[in-house]
Amino acid sequence: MDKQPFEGMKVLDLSNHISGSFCTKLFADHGADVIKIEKPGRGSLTRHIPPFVGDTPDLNKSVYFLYLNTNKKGITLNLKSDAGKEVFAQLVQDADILVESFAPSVSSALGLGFDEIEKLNPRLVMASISNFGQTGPYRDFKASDLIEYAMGGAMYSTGLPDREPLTKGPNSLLFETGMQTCYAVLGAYMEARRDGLGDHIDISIMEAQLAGCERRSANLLTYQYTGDITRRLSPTAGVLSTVPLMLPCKDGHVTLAIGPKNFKRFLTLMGRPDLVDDPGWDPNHMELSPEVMKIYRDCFSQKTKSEWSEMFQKEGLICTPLSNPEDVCTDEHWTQRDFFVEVNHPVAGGIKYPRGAFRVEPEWWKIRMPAPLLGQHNGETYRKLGYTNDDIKALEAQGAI
Amino acid sequence: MNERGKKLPLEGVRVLSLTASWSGPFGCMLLGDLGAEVLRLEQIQYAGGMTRGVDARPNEKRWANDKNGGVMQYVDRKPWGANGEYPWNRFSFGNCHLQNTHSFTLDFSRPKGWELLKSVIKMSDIFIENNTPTTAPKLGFTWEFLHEINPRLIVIRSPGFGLDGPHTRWKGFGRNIESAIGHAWLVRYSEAPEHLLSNRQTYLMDNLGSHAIAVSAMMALLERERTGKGSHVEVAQAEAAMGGLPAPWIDYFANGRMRSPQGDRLTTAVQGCYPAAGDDQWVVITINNDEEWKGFCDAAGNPPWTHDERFDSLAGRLENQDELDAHIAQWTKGYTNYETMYLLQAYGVPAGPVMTEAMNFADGHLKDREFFIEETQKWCGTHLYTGYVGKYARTPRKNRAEMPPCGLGEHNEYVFKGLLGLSDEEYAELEREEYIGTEILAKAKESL
Repeated sequence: MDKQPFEGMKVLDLSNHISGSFCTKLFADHGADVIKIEKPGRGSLTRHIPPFVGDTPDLNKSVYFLYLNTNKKGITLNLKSDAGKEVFAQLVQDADILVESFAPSVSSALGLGFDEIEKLNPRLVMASISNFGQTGPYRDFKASDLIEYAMGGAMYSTGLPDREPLTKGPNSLLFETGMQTCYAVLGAYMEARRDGLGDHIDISIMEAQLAGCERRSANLLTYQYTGDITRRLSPTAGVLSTVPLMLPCKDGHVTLAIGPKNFKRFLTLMGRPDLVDDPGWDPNHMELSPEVMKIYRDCFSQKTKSEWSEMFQKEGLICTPLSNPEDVCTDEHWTQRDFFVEVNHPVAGGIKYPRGAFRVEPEWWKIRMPAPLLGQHNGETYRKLGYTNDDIKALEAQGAI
Repeated sequence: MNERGKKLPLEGVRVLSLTASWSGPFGCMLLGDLGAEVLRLEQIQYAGGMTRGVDARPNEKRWANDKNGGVMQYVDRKPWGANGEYPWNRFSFGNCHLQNTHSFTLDFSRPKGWELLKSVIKMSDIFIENNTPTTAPKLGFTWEFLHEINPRLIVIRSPGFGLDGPHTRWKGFGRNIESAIGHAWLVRYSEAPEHLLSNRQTYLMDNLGSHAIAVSAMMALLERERTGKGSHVEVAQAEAAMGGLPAPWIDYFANGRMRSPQGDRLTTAVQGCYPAAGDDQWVVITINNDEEWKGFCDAAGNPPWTHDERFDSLAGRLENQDELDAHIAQWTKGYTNYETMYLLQAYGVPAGPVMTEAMNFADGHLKDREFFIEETQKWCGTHLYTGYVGKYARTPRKNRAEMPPCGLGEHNEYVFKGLLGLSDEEYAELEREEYIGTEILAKAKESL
């Protein structure tokens, strides 16, 4: 079997929420041995986030948990107990990477301060993900996905001008932070494996948004350059305004980006070649009046969003469907690319998940096992550390695992 | 802490970048931050994309027509006049991610240029491009060619829709691609048609795509140590985005359900964006459970409406959220968004201001953490730029302030004389024959 890039790497996943779990998923899906450490009984927070498979809350049926923990082994461990601390110390000694996402005040109380961890394993790269970072006035503030978007992201400029600012895709910024953390961890790891000296990385989700890559990073700089803040735009505002950015069609909407250069071809393809030489239809001297809009709407109502998209794109003009989740999940493009891959889970059953973002021959991305049941790999993992079956029973009885 | 012996993690790695805003140049900068030497290939025969400005030399008319459309984001706003030279070096869309990057120009459409470029390819470790799939091969950069002249070269290609499949040649800006992958549909105030938005001004594929590029580069470096050969890596920006938004797809496959847009609300907590004192100012609040609800009521001084028994349980609060929101909004209007944050956080309730760019730069927490980086760039002067993802206790980064956003062709001498060993005469000839330069030619092809 071909090797995966992270084969041989050992990662401990102490994260409770999405960002850390996504970071460690990226390691697990590409070959690392990842152990997810959960609280006995309740497990990780992501086991409790809806939606659930079959809509019934169940520790093993949150779609978030199932997706985030593929290829990981799962153990339970009470980090507050002395026995639990001892077991944890053994695990740390053997690891390359540790990712945790406790609130900063909690992690030090649990003995997870880097000073302590480093004594156990000086070559360990440890990442601590928190809402606002390990230092600063907001260190202990609470946050949610939406609050992080409001404070670190582009929320102020998202939405309609006469309405309140609007969120981005559900929890997506926490996934972004996970990918960003993976980058930061790898950076430290590349050096730690050369010089044997580990590191501690302080990831603030708010800063991950601010330091991330998108229009907002340019807009922050624009403010420095011009003093202008970025506001919510009306749906008709845009770079290339001779054609609206979005038009209704037979079965939904399409989005468009047609500049003056392509305007005549656009009119012809739209079905109105007669307008090409009409002086009223000069893209540099026209307004999107109700009459103009009516003509656009009448034309576009004749075809479906995919018919329009295929037709314009074939001619090199930008047009895409406004897809709903069903459109996305049944889109021939993603089907042919096998983007959604079925994974069998002993409790949740066979369900399709998105595959990894990297495609390489031979494949880097593999599903070796589904997300673990709570404590599924306790026996295997603890026996490997030298505990006998009786020891394990005793740990269970103490509530340590 | 002891920093002895720590080198830049990617010291000795050279990246050749043929990229356009945002994910490509940003992904390259991320590698530059870790010590890689990024060589950004540009041309004076070509104006554009979004990185160096939509027009090479925008004029007053373009500025007037922009109508806040966002393509005129230059230092001091108007890129002409006394301080208006080299507008392509003064454009925020490019300058937000051209740090730790060397820019060199080269007309590689002519044989002499192509030969020079081949020498650069031979001494590079990673080639990165993020154009539509037909662009790079059309210019001559096929995997077969690259791999043949440099078998150790890692090739990362990051088009929007991927290198194969029915939509592979589809073109689009961020908003067009994010419409096709459901993000625009998912994020709305409601199902009403007037709430469909296509110009969100923020796209998942850029952030996930750029970091996926940097992650895959390091994975390929690890792989190369084992195999001795460079990998051919495909990172479809749309797929990187969809992998960061998994719940709607899995919910559809598992339960056959289409998640409906619900504005800023959640089904598991009372959450909303409420008006604050001031013009177009807002505060976001999330009340997860009974404890936080009690905290909220105490912070608000327990006014009579908080005693309404319909609000006693989370289920009741969610069921009657329209009414509850009206009360909360009435209360938040009396305070600035920062006041509300401090007050509610003191009572253990998650809350925070919706920050404008101005608020970000003024924010005390970010100042305390020294997040922003002051950089002085030759054509723009001194400004604050966004900082890094995560703080390392030990691992050094190449300081962006020491290598601020590169000007077009700023590092031509370094590349042609320093790396390729050309003489002064040969270099001067390249300039004279317009193979290289620092100014976009008047006859340059416009991209849009």
